[in-house]
Parts: sequence; C-alpha cells; structure tokens
Amino acid sequence: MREKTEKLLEKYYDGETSLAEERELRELLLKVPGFQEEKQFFLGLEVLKAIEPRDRPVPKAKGELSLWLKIAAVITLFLSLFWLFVDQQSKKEEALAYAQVMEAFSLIQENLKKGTAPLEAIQDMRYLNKPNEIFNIKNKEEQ
Amino acid sequence: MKKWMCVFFIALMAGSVHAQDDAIVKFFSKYMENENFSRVYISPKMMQMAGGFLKSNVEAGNEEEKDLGELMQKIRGIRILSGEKVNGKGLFQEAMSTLNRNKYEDLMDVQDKSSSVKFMVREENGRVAELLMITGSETGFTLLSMLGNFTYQDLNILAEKTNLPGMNEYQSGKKTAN
Amino acid sequence: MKTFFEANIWPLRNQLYRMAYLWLKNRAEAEDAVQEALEKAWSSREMLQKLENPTGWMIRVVKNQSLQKIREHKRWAVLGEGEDLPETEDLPLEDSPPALQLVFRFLKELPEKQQEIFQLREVEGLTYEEISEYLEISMEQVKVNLFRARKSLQVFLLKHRER
Repeated sequence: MREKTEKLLEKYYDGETSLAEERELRELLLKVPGFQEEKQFFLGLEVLKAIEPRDRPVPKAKGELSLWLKIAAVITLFLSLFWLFVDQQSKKEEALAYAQVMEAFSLIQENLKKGTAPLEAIQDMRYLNKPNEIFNIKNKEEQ
Repeated sequence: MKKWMCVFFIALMAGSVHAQDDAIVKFFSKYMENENFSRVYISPKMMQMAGGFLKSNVEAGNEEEKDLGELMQKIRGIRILSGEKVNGKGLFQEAMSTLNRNKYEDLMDVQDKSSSVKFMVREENGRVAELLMITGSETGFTLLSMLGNFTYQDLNILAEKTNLPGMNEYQSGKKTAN
Repeated sequence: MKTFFEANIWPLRNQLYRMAYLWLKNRAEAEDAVQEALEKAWSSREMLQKLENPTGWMIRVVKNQSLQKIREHKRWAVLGEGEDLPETEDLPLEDSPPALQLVFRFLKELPEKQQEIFQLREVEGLTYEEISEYLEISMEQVKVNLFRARKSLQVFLLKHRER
C-alpha cells in the first residue's frame, strides 16, 4: 500500500493524475502510516472544502418584489388609460347622439314653424285697429 | 251568424293593424337601399345617451335644460328618411297613400306652391305615441317618425323653445360636420 | 420555475465563498465579498444571461471584490498607529486550524494564477475543462500551472518536513 501511495503521489506532483486518482490518493493517505506533511496538507484542503458561508437571503427576493411592483404599476397605468379611453369614447358617443337628436328636433321645429308663422302674422295684427271679435285672438291664445 | 261576423271583424282589424304597421315600415324599407336617400335611426339607447350628455354639459338650474331633458326621456326613438335629389311631391303623395289614415290624426297641414308639410299624430291612451312629419318639395323629401309617450304640451316645447342648448348649432341649414 | 439567476448563479455561492476565503482568510469578509458580487450579478442579470461564461464572470467579480477589501485594509493599516502593522497582504487571520494555516502558507507562495487553478482543482474538484472554462484560459495553461503548483507543493512539504 505504501508503494502504491508513493507512486500515486509521484504522479500527482507531476500533474498527471485524474480526479479519480486524486480521490484514491486521499483515501490511501488516510490509511497508510507516515506522510505526515501530506496528510496534514490534505486535511487542510478538506477543511477548506467544507467551508460554507452562512445563509444569506437571495437577492432575488428584493428584486422580485420590485418586479411585481413594476408590473402592477404598468398594468394600473394601462387600465387607467383604457378606462379613460372608454370614458372618452362614451362621451363622444353621447355627444354624437345628442347632436343627432338636436338635429332631428331642429327639423321638426323648423317645419312646425311653417305652420305657426301665419298665426304669428295674425297676432301681429293685434296692433292694428281690427275688432277683436272677428279674429278672436285672445281666445285662441288662451287655448 | 253574429259570431262569425265578430270573428271576421276582429280578424280584419288585426289584419289592418298589421297592415298599417307594415305600410310605414314598408315605406321606409322600400327606400332603405336607395342611394338617393339618407336614413337616420335614433335608438332608445341613443336617446338615453343624449340625455346623459345634456345632464353633464348644461347647468342643472337651466329651465330649458330641464324641459329638454324631460322631453328626451319621453321619446323612445326617431326614424328619419330623407332625400335631396328626388321627386318630393310625388313621394309625398306616395307616403300619404301608404298610410292608414284611420290611425293617424292630422295635426298640421301646410301647403304652398313649392312645398307640402304635414304633421300627424297617433294617439294611445290619450297621449301621443307617434309623431309623423312628412315634407315634400321639388328639392327634397323627408319622412320623420318620432315614437314615444308624450303630450301635446311636450310638442309645444319643441315648437316654441328656440333657446334649447344646441338647437342653433344643429339646424339643418347649418349642418355641423358629421 | 427557477429564474436564470436562481439556477445558474446562486448555486455558485459556496464555491465563490471558498475562493474569497482563499484571498481574505476571514469568514465575514469573504461572505461580504461574495454577497456584493452576487448583488452585482443580480443587477446585471440580463447581461449575464447572454454571456457564454457567466461563472467566469462571477469568479472575476468575487476576486475583484476580495482584492478591493484587501486594498482597503492595507489603507487602514497605513493610516493606523503603526505599532503592529498587519502583514502586508493579510487580513487578521482568524483562529483557524493549523492544517488550514498550512494550506494558506503554501498558497501565499504561489503566483495568483496558480493559486486559483490549484484551489479550483484541489478544493472544488473541477476538471481541467471546467477550470479552463471558468478562468477563460487554455487547457494547456491549466495543465502547466497546475503542474508548477504541484511541484511547488512537493518542495514546500519537503521543506516543512525538514523543519
């Protein structure tokens, strides 16, 4: 076993060992007598290998929160723009509807006036000296 | 025999009512696809929207606004059929003949050498369910049907009030860009 | 579904910590260096994703953070009273087991590149391929430097024996 260890160690120092062989070397060193320095050194490596940092929070938590906030903000913005747009559209439609209704009303009124215009002419005659009874203006007004 | 007479009479009435509705509708639909005519249909929803617009844009204290608003609420819809380069007088006669005169009462009739204007109403339970306006001249023809549930007083508002918001802007003489 | 950062960068933590510890020989400082490096990685994660060798980038950042800390300590040392100037490059060594101290003493003698390659091979157990990838050097360079480091170790341990 000592021979094997020496051979492996020689190979190791020559930089010719594979990972598997290096593993083997370490195991051998644990069992074989002597090789104090090597043993200590490799022990040191093991200690180093075992070192781990304390638990720290993953940065992602912080980042993710702000990502969600950003997403929420964008969605809120879009929603409010959307509702603004919808509101604008309905206001436009309302105005349009109003315009059409008023147009129809104007049309009716215009034509109604054609009928009432002569009546107005008659009313104007009030100021002339015609007997009221003939035209019965007062009564017509009260109707 | 009497029984049969009743049934027959009812059937006739039903038939004629149907026929009368069909006449107006037929008149409108006859010229639906005609390019020389323009059609306007103001639905109940649009009447509602117009009312909404009025409310949100004119101060509440305004009396005209109140009257107009009330009038709008009583109207269910308006249908207009009009043509410009058409034989107004001929169409006027045609419309008159298609209508069932029994259902409509004359409200106003103005005739002069160049044009004819006729207003008719259809009553239901003492109120006006429909106002019909037919105008015809050499330069044009218009048939307007306004459905709803209003009184003659309401029509008066329409006839007299000229300060109604928007009335000036929307007169047919000064059409705003559509 | 793990993000790129969670899957590729965060798992390197322990390894990076050991590298930082190699430089700083102080747990807290090493942790800080690694955390700082990870935070930098987090804020540049889009860029990092596009890199071919994000691990190499991480190693470099950790190294830079560690070196920076060393420099800062050096500065303080200079500004200090001067009675007990800590050794030029070392931070106060914690109470570490003698075996570990042996390792550090050896590594101190090596040039930087050899130190890195030695650590990645002996402590982290990486293949030549992996080392060459992380450090962005050729396989040949890895072999040569590891050879030299091992030779130095042979000499070092011999000297140690003779003490």
